[in-house]
Amino acid sequence: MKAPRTAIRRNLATVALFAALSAVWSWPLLTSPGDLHIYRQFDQYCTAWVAQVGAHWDGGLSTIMASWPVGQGLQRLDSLVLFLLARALGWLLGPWTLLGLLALVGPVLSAWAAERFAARVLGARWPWSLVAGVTYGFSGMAATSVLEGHVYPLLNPWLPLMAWQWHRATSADGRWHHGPAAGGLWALCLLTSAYTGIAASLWMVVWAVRLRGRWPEVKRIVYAAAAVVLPLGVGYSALFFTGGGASRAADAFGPDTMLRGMGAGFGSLAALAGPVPGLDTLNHSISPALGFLPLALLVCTRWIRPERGPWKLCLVLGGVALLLALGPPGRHWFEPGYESPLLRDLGRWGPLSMFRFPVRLAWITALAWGAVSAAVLSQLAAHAPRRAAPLLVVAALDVLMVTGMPGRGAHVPWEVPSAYRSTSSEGAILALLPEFGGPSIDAEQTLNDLECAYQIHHGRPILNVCVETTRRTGPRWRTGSWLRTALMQEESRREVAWRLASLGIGSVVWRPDLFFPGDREVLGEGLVRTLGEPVAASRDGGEYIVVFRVSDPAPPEVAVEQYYGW
Amino acid sequence: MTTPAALRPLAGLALLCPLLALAPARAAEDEQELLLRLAVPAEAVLDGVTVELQRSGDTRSVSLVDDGTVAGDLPFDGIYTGRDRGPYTRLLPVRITVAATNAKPQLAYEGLVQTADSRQDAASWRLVKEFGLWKAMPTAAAYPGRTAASAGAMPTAMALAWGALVIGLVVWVVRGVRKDGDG
Repeated sequence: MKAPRTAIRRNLATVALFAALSAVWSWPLLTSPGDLHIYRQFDQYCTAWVAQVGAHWDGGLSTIMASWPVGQGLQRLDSLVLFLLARALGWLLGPWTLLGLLALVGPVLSAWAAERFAARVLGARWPWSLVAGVTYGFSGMAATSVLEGHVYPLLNPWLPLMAWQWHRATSADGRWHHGPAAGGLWALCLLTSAYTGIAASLWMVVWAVRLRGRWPEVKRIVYAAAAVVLPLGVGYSALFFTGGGASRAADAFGPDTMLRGMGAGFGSLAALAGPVPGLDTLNHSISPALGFLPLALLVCTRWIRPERGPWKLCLVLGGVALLLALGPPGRHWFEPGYESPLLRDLGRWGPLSMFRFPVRLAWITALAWGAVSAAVLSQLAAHAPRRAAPLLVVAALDVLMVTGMPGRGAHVPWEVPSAYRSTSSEGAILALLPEFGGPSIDAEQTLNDLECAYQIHHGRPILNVCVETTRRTGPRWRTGSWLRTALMQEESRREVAWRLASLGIGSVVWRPDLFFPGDREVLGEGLVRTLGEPVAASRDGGEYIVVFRVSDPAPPEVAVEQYYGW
Repeated sequence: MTTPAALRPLAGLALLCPLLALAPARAAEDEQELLLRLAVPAEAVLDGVTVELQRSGDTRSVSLVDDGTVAGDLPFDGIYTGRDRGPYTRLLPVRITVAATNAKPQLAYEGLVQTADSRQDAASWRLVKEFGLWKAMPTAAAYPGRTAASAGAMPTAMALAWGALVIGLVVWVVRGVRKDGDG
């Protein structure tokens, strides 16, 4: 019984070490996971909104709580795993607490799974196998997820476990059940996010080269995997495409070519080295950094080879994924009008226009190269354990240095502007925003998504679109643009108030600071003239908010009729 | 029995991590400090730079200077610096006005600054001349127009130095292994 006890101890030590690293890496999130935000970018708001909707999900494919009065479709949620987790745990955890726990616990489980992959597939020995976990669970892509606020890919032990099961399935000693196990784990990757699903698919396809020449032996296992993958994949795609168009909706500021559309979604070679200036600007925090230790250990494969396993395939897979994640070298590719012939042709296929963040394929690199480096370190340590020992500490410090965590994390105590407490208990809330342009164009997205997150606390329907990143579209944009123009042109007070009420709007939330001084004055007077004196104003929660109420808002069935007939 | 020796440094780290995690969080401050920086090219001769910003309903005016009197400013490096403290604000509308010598003050920028941190944040611009008018372009970090030193590049420089250290350490381990093998 000695061996199992040792294995349990090793696993407990592994989890404890990764948990300690997670606490430091995401510090000070641990002190208040539900109220303190370390996330920097606006994705956090709609991620929290998804968790909120999930907690109260009644089984329908849309909710009237957003995109009022037409309703918000739920077919294109970023993460069905997050949604279902919220459904299961919503009675216990609030949306922000769930996100905080995902950011704290997710990397630990992901790292543990990667450590097991390195040990089982490439023969990395404990504790050197921890390097694989650190590289996968805490490197640049993990930092990107937490800082951008889409925390669900942090809980992705599925990819290493899928890789492990798929390896077993394609090995000489593969059993039939390894196929469906790999297929099921692939589905969990897909349900975690479409990007992790694409990464898992790439892994499966490349790893399938191991089937070469052995098809008769393994075809039964592959068919068993396909029996799981195909129906789930088709089902997911069908659900996704019933939720909207088959290509990404273009907006007035959309890129004119597919490659330029992906421009913001590639990693940069410089960011592999560390937190370069500007990494957290322009609403993104993209860094595929792996750490210097894994890269240095990969170079060592020239002299010191992993003990066993398809480490060369891991090297190739990680390299291919990294090349795709970094995108075409040279800025000239992004000059207006230029597009590579291949991508131009692929871009004609609408669904591909939704693939905008190739950098997320770097999750594959983090897993594959992390595992190889752990296996190489195991070999080094077998010959010189004393010399190799400090490299374990270096591995932990390495991810802190190259990701810039926890220093890059924000520090924002979550507080909803108190004026929201005075919004009407009837009807929806309309956020009146200015028309943003130029360098401030993305402020519209930030404010739109922030309003989605505020709903967690005020519980009233809103006109904002809370799924997919869209600008200048949806009921909030349409109604807000009309209201701004009507107030500026001093249209009939009675007609404007009637229109708002007929659309089921019970409150208008205005942010005076964000308007030009001249517009601010005219709009303020117009709102008072139309809706009466504001019922509340607040300067807390990071915003200056003024709330107006609309009398007798129409019920949803009338509002939706009015909206379509407008 | 190689594992216990190998684990010693890791055990030290394991002890350190909970200690760090249990240490009191940095106290949330009531006010947010915003560092404003404008990189000015050598050919610009300015009498003054003013940033007007809206913070939670209040209009404030901050003068940017390059004489070293503001904390964190290197004198005469071409980066005009100013600081504003006030209640935490997510989005601040700002207007930058530059006053060139022998010329009327001119509006160089009007837009929004988004902050991600409730305690401190920074916003940077670069001053360029277009069609005879000064224009402030938002940038990730303000690089000096007149010297090679840059605080903005410090994290990258530190990461690269760290990289050199790690690579050196790995080379040292590999050399040890190869020496053992030779022996």
